[in-house]
Amino acid sequence: MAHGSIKDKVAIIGAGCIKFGDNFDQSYIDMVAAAGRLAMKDAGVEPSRIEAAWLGTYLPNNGLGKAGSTIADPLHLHGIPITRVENFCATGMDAFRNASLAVAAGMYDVVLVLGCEKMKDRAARGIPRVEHPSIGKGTTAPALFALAANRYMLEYGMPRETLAKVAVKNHYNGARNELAHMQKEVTEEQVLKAPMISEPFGLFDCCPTTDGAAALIVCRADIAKQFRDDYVLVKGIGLAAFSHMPYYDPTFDYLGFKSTQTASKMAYEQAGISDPAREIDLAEVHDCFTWTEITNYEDLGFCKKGEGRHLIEEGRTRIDGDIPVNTSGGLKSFGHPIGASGVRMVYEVVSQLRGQAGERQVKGASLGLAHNVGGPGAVSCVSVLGLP
Amino acid sequence: MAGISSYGLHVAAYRLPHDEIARAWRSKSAKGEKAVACYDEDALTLACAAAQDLIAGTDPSKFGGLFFASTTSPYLEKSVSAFIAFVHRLGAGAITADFANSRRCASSAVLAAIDAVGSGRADEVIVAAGETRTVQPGSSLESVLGDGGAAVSIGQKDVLAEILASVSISDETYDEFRRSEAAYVNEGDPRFAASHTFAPTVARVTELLLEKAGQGREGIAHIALGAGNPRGVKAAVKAAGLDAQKLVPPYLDKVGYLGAAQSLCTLAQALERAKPGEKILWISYGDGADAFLLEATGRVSDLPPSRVDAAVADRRPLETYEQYLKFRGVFDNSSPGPGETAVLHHNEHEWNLPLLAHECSGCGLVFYPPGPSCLRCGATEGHSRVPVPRRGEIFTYTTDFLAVNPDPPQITTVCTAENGARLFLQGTDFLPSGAEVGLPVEFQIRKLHDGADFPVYYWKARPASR
Repeated sequence: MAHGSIKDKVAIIGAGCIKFGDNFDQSYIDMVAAAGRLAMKDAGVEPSRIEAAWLGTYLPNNGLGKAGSTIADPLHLHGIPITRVENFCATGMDAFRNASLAVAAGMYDVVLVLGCEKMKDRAARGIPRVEHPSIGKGTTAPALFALAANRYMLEYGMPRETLAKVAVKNHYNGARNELAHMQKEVTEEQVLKAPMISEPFGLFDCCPTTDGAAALIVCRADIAKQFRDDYVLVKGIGLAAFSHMPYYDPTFDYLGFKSTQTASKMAYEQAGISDPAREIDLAEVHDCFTWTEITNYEDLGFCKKGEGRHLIEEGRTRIDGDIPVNTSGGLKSFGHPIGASGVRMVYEVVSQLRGQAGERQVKGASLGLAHNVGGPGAVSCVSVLGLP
Repeated sequence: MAGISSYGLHVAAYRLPHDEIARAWRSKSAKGEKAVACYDEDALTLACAAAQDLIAGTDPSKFGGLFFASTTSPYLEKSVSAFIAFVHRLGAGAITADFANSRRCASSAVLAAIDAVGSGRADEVIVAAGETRTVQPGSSLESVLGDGGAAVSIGQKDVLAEILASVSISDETYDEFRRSEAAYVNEGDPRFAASHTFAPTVARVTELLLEKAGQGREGIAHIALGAGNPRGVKAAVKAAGLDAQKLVPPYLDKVGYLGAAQSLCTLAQALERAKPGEKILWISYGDGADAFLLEATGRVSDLPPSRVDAAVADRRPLETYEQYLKFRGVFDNSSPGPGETAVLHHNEHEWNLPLLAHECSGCGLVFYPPGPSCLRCGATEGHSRVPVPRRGEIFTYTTDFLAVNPDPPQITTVCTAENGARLFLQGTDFLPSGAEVGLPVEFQIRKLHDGADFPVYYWKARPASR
């Protein structure tokens, strides 16, 4: 079996992200157009320079985002291949992965990746359920992750207070990010006293329901310098799918996600990373719920299984810690418009590596990671990005 | 000679106090409570659970038929007996039929079962009744009607009681009735019914039965006559020349009158009380009456401690009348989302209704749904379909306040069945803080949601009863 590597073959030369939030005054098309133009402007390219595009949208609303051609008119991309990608919560990052692979294969020089999700045009209970009418009925996103969190917390004796610290940290970061949905700090006490959503997750343990869009311009690494000096290189990308309904899998121990463990191993191998906690300067990880961030620490190899709590409890994943996680505010505070999230995370890592993250800047950052997990555990995607 | 071979019960677990009905309607309370079907229960699920209780621990393929009896079937056109027989994997070619339209329909089904067994069409036939009758809210019958299911099987071998004789009479009258388009039972005038239809009918059917059997009244040890009006029952028994002391005491103040299921439940009580050789007079009333003379065999002494008592004692408080209205669907908040389609149902019902898993031909892993490839070793050929036991324990769970549920919060579970299969199941009949990892649970068919074109029945987990 071939194990190719994408290392240093693909560069990110443009990145754009709109303000995430309750974007009631913007349509899906408005958000696509805004994010796409920001990225093109950042890269200094016109639509005519784009040779192919990938669109990440999890759930088309009113028919918008169902096919790649949804973005053809607003971004004036006619006569090129545009493909929509959908892969649960890894949708956006998988769009980025597909674009990178196409460039690495030599098919295109310059391509667009766009993630967009219009979530705030539905009833008030989060993601609409599109589950199987019997064997998948009764699921909610928080409940699916809570099933794992409860088993994990019982196994490792971890209290809700530890979960709350993740919310406090990510809200602290989000309060310093003008593009984030929730720009407000919270205290541990507020988190613990918030209304219960799905035990053990209270309101502040859950990411909000958010509108948003983000975009990237990706090109061949060897021509990146034509566009800018501070381009960012793709060092490795891995994606791994496991059981579509892991809650039926008798071999699933609910203590972590094999998909993240496997996808990160793929990415690390390509990037030549052997000690991620030491080598990676910052990570944007999938904190859809507070517990998810803790299991991510372990599944991404930042620490051993069952020891993730120490990273948050000891403050090691704060911006000033030795392995800063979710400097953007994370899904928790920045918001999680599903198809946009993976692209938005790459945007944050790019900003950090270019030194443009303002008061959230991780000093001297040269290697960053972005990660999504969906399903929960059905699919994960991990990207490692670095400076040339 | 045909007889009653076994029985099973499922009384709806929730109990509405009569005091709470009185509070809602500013009326006087008769002390007691009544069994109320959970929001996900109906006549189909109650009968299905009672049949499951009856079948537990036996080979379901030995049953050659199943009859469903109810005045509150969820379908006017579609066979509930066929559904229950399918879920419980009765023998191929099992006869199925639904009996309806009278409180007497369960005993009418028993008469048909006796004939089926006697003719050799089947060795053993189950009669499963389920009932969720509703009367005009605030009316006097409201506190009397309870929800539950009961089942008996009729066979020839190793019976608990032999059926020595049976008779049936029909009557054309208006006591309790419900027109097909009406939501509520019309209770008529209970005093008129007691004196002018109930008592004379009981007297007449008793006379006919005892004459046919050549049986004197003094030899009757137990009278099983379930009805909603205890005073009327005593008067009727007296009018029939019988000793009211021999009446099997009903659970009217604990669960209420279970409609079509009541007669089977009262019969089960009589079987539990009878000593070998004792005679039971079983009368089932409604638009006439069916009457049976039974004689308990030595097998009754092997019966475990009363399962009727256990079913009655398996209770959860229903705190308010408002909650009762929610359970009755008065405030509709049925769960959104896609419904089932006829073709999807066709593709999957062979395993998702009988709950069949795959046991891997390569590594032995038991996995559900029974997909083509083993989740562990990947073997794709030769898996065997194995039934998932109806019991297991909670592997993990959450209490979900976000899920749309008529009785929030929703308990969502992942359970490990006794054969190792892992199941994602909604919980039901749990107290809000009643779930815990490792808790023994049983799986029951419930109405998952109303779907698009038809209701979707599927399995849920509930705290294990016995």
